[in-house]
Amino acid sequence: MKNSIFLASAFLALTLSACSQDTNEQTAEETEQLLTSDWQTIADSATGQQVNMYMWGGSDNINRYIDEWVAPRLKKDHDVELNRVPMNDSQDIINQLVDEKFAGKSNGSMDIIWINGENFKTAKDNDLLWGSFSGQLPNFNDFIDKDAPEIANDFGEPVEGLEAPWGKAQFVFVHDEKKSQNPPKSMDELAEWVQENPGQFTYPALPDFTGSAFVRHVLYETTGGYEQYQQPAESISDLEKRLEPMWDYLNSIEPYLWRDGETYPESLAKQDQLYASGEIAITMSYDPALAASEVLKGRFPDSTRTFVLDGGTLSNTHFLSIPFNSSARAGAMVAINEMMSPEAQTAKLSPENWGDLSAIDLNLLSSEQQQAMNAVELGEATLSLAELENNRLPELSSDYIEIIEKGWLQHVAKE
Amino acid sequence: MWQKNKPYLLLFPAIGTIVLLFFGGLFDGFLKSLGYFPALDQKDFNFTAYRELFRSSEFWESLILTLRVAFLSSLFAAVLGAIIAIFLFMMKESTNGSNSSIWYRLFQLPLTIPHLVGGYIIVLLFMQSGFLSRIATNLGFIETISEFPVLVNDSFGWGIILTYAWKEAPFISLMIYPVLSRIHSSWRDVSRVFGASRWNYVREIVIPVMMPAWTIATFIVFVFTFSAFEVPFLLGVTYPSTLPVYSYQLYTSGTLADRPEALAVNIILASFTVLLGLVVYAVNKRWNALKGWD
Amino acid sequence: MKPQLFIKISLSLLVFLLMFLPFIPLILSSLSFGWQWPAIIPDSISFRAWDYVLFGSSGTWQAVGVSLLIALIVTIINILLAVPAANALVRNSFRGKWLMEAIIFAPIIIPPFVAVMGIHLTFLKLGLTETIVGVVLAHLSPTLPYMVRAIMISYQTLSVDWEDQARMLGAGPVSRFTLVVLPHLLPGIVAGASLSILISLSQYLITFIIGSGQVVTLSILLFPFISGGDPAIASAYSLLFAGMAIMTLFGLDVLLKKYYQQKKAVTNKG
Repeated sequence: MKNSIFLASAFLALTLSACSQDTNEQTAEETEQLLTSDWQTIADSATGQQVNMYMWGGSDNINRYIDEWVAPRLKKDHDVELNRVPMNDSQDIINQLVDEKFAGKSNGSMDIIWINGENFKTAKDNDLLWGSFSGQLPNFNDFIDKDAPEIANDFGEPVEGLEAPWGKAQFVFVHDEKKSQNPPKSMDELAEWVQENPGQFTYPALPDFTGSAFVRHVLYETTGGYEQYQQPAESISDLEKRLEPMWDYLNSIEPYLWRDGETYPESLAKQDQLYASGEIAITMSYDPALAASEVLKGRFPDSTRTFVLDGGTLSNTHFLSIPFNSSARAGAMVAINEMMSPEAQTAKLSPENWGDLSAIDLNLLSSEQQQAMNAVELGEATLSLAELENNRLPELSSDYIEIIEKGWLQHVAKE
Repeated sequence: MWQKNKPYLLLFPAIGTIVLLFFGGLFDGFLKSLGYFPALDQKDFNFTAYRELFRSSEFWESLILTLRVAFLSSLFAAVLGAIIAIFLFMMKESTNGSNSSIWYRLFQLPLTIPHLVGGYIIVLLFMQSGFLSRIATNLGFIETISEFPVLVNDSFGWGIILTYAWKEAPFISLMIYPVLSRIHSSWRDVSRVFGASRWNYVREIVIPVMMPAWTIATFIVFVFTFSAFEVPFLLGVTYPSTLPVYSYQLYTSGTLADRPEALAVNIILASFTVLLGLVVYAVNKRWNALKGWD
Repeated sequence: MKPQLFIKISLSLLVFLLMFLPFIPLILSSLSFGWQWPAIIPDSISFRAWDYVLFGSSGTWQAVGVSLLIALIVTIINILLAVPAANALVRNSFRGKWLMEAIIFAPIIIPPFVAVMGIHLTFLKLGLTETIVGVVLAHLSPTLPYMVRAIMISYQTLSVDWEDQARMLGAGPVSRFTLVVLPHLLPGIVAGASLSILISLSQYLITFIIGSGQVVTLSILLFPFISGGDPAIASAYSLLFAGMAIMTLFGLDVLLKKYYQQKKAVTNKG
């Protein structure tokens, strides 16, 4: 009996593996050529390819922009088929690549991934990305300010051409004009405001991306500016001590937060739900135009406005990249190039589509293209591009972020 | 020869499938929880992952939360399920079964709702700005949102408990009802002759008859809620999280280094449910033997 | 009759509270356009969410197709595996029977994702991840025990005498099975199939781990929305998902009834 089970298992395993041996190997040389050959050759070899784009799938706006604006144009102009794959979390993307690397899977299904920050660093450290491809893209060369710090670095990590900028984000606070006429413009003012309006403010629990960004603003304002942190975390010997005012600040406002600070919203999306239903008066977003698009959808009240701190708010860039084992690299390059075109970026800026800030440098555009971009109606809830531009702070590198996120659990959440 | 081997041959395909896909997976996971990753050149066994887990307060808090949630969910589902089943049974008795099957079917509805949807329904109903809070406000019970109790994404786990109580009560009634249907109406008449009241009848006959099926059903709900992922993921909080969610957080942390710990959580989870299964099996067997059933 | 009225009222109240009330906010939310607290009814109605879910480029219908296809294949394999297994377990006593039962019913007690996380990397190496075949294999162990259980119940009421009688009347093994055994097992098979389909449809975690994003079932599509995405769309998807599950089970029920009617008609004629 035992033997027969063993035999059958072995047999089944054999048949399973026989069925699944996929011999669809691309020669390494051919793909590496894509990093050196001219654009026409790349565009030619992209023809007919199907490109899978893995990205968060919880926003119908973004989904629609990809499915109904980008994909048909790619199909029509380049015969490249763009297939959006919905994910729940971009960490799942990286995790899956880690597995594929470990298992030696060479013909992966992911061709384009949407990442930045910590996920980029993990991917780079584990060699999960294909290579330095962005310099090959015409739209990157024509319209992107390559030397700008937010393009050359992704949360302090040098990009080195491994990913191409897709859009920019800047942190804004979101409030209802009717409920709070004078929103707090600094962390000190925020602390006062929170005490006067108990239960009306909170931030998403770390490691939520936006919640973590909020805490970084606290760091900058309570410990004396961002300049001191523009070096690796290891080189600051008394870092723990320097962070203390930040934990003190967060603990001092905790009793006055939503639900007395006993818990924090799981994610920004959940916090937005609280704001949408009037449960809290202030929410936040790392996307300055999101509030306007939520107003357009009827989720946020019409009187919703955004504001930045007098000391400025964080801004960063989000990127598109190609994984190490993509099976359609040429197609992915063509698709990414298209998504960086002035037309695609202008459409993306419109709150009706998505409302995501463009990654390209306005000064490098023709006057017509500039006009088109400036003509986009951002909605009353969005600050002007100039006001955002003038209040930008650089991001921290991910070693700090890791320390802050771990520290938050210990110093704030558990206490 | 054929007669002797026939049951084994008939069982072989099903057993083979489960052994290969299920126990194979358990074994595979068990090896990796001991740090055995041949592809990473880790071929020795160690208990580092287990040791780390037992040392971390996160694991213990997670275990306590999971036990609490599973216990309360199955308790509420058991009570609610028994009430539904007894009402259905009485309905059948008093109408001689003419339209009781429609009622019976109505109560199966939550069973057909996928858990993800069930969880979301509870979110919409019970969150502080949810449907019930709106109703309570309009009826004048509360004035501000924060007066409504925190029942969703709370650290106690009420949201998860509510979802399972609602989703699994019909399951429990479905398991008990057929057993109750076997009670002959003549027993009722007999008990009436001996002067038993309705309540006595329920206590002396109905409850003892349904007890074995009831415990088994409740146990299944307990094990299910103990090891479920989707609903705690949606309705729980980041910290502490239930064991399955904790395991998932470790599994998808983006580094293979956390895998042994994630799989160790799984193995602990599995051992615990098996242990519970054995206890209930033994208890139930003794019980049946005592009562002279089976 | 007073007690009967009491029972009826209590049952109706339970039905309202447990079966009816929970769906109201789901429906309202799927149609809402800005639904401020404490309004019970949204200020204005919008079909935006339904438009996206049903007619947009959201891939809903494809996901429905993939979900049903997987559930169907899983169920068919389950039936093929479970009928002989149930036969052996009900009609024979043999050495190691308890072990066989323990093995088959283990996945009810031990959560299936434990096995799936364990086998995941092996599946990846075998090229089974990202395929429907892989997801079907992953869905087998959580569903098979229920199928075996359901068919066992049917077997328990099937007397060996009936088959013997058929044998004496000259029926071969095949016709004995199709004419005597199968019709008797059918209610059990349908009950098992309902459970198997339902369990397969609602899997998220194991579908995600093995399907790795490439096998997009309705739960995969819905998950980012209900875990903090757009609530109107999450509600519309939830209703569609619940509707799909109920319709499938209802369809099975209707088919079974039809089969019995037809059989009745045939026997009446004969």
